[in-house]
Amino acid sequence: MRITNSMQYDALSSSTQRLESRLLDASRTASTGLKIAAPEDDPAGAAALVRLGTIEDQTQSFQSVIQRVQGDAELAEGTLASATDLFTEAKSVALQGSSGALSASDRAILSLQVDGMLGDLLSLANTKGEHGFIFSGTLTQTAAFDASGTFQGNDSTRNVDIAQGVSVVANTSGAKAFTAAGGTDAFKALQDLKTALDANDPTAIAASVKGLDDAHGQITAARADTGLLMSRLTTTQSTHSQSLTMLASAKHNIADADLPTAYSQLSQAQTTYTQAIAVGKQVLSTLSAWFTA
Amino acid sequence: MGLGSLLGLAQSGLAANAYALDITGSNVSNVNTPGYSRKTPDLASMLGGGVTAGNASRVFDQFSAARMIVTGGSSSAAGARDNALGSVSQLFNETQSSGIADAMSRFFSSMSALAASPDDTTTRGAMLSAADSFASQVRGVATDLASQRSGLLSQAKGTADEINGITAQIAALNGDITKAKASGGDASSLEDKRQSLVADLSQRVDVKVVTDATGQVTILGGGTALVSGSNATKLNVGMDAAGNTQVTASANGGAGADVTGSIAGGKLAGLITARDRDIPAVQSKLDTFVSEIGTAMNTQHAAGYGADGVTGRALFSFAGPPGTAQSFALDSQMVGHPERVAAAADPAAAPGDNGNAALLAGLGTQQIAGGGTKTPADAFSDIVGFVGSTKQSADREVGVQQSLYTQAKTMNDSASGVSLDEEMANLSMYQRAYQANAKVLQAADQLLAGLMQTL
Repeated sequence: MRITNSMQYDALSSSTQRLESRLLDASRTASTGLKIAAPEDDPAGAAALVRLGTIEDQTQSFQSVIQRVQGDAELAEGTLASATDLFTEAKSVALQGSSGALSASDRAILSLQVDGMLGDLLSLANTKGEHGFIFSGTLTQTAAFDASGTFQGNDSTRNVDIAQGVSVVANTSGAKAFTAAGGTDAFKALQDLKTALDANDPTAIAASVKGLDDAHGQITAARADTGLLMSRLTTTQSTHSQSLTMLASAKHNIADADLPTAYSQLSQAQTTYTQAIAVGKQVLSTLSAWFTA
Repeated sequence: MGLGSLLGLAQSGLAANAYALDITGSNVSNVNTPGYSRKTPDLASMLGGGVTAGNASRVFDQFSAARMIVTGGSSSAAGARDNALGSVSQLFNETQSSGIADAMSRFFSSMSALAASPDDTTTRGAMLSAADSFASQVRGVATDLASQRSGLLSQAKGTADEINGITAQIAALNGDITKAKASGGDASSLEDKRQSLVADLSQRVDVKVVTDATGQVTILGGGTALVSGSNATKLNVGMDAAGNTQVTASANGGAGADVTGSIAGGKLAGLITARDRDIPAVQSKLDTFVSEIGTAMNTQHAAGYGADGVTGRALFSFAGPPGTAQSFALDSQMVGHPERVAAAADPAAAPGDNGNAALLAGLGTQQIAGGGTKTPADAFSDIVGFVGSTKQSADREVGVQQSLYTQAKTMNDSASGVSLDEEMANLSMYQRAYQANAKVLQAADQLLAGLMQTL
């Protein structure tokens, strides 16, 4: 083939441009550590990154939901624990009051104590969480009980997804913990004790112990359910943390460049480019030999 | 033969080699001139001795030149399309920056948060904000796609103007070349200029060159005769009723014929392909995606109840298709009204009821897109994959076409280009020949001088 000067210049120019492009790619990969900088670098990989990123976001979203639920669940569990303590104390008062050794004035003092317990129970049952009254069902802006101990809320549940296809009841039922809907009206049990104490009736006081025991058991059961919910939330959150680690790893496998290979390719590209420049200089000096000879 | 004849021989040799040196010098000086075809002196022996120099021959290989023009056009088309798709690809580059997928994730996350705290006004407001952000992100991408189509139309118009300028010059050169040849002059430099313009033209539109016996070229391109003799046809770029690019060809400035479908190469073809095929394909996929997501969200939202107890409200508003993505927005009745977010399934259980919020959040993982076969994330990742594949294919096409063009250009340069090595050898050859003829002249002169002294 007949070789012309423009062919030599074009060959030099195009090979230098090609090598510059390769050098740019290699240096970008080595400096960012990423092998996918744009969808066209690996269309399937880029699509997979979008999917994995979305799953990652969903998982983080589930974690955020768990944290929201955990706040009110911990508050409910603590409140119910206080309520069970209250009924343990009430039972103790009932047993003390049923003793034949106590006088009417002693029972009147005990009645005042129970009166305070009724106030405490009302306060506990009307506990407000982050987003409203935690024992009002879904009527979270309404106090669960009025001053007379009458339930104002509902027994509706709030189901929340904490993982893909996994739903939990996020609210603790105030109806089942404190009202006859759970078997025993806790307020009535305390009121019965107070009434018996006020009546100075040891028999009625002794009879009220069963109601107090039932209310205690009912609140304990509600507390156990809340404890189970908290345990489930903790377990699921741990699973999500593991999932996030695996998802991050999967994303890195797709998007990240193998750094030793990337550095090696960069070094190779630099060497080749330098050599091409040297060859170019040599060719240009040969071309000008006619004029310097 | 006499001494006078010897003087004549020397004179013709001096003149012919001086002319050859002149051509060699011209070749050397044009070594870097684009489109220049090297010349060779047309030396011929004369009857009775001596040498004559005719017009210089222009070394031109019709086949390799035609091949270079065709591959140049294809390479230019591929490059123009690839450049246009580069901008599209960046709109869907979710690998390093946040985009639609990220905004959509944040939107569905805000739904999940709403399901956990349906009674919280801040959470309701955050959900509306995330919905607005998602719609805004989609709208931004759709608007950018539309802007790119608009920009490509402007580029196509500019390219048509360039084409019209070049064809007018070629038509004028056709006339000049005919005149030069008719008067027996050297038209090779005009032919070089015309060839260079044809090469420029082929970068912008598909070109086929037909040369007639008089040296005039007819340029066929875009399904019409762009240049015929001294006449040029003008191309005009506009839009048809559907908003697609329309190229019309008009010889006399009147209503032109639609030649859009015949534009087969050059930058104009690449721009049209990107504008009317590639980008609309992406727009259509985005419109379908948005329509499916928006419809599913609206249907579910309308089924629930706001904290104000009202039902039947849409969450998003959109038109089309086409234009669904570009019109996608948070419904005006929802803007600034977090209490209208339909989180509750039962109005009596509001505001703590999350029945509808849970269903809305659940749509993020349900197959509500792709005709009911894909989750929103899968459907959008398919669009990202489609854009990536299209750009990757365009990149490869550029590589292939560039390689073919380089080969064709190498072939053409090999035939018509200037080699300094060759010219330097020629320079030396003609210089020595000139010196030899000068010696002959000197010898004849000395002989004549001796003769004159003898006389």
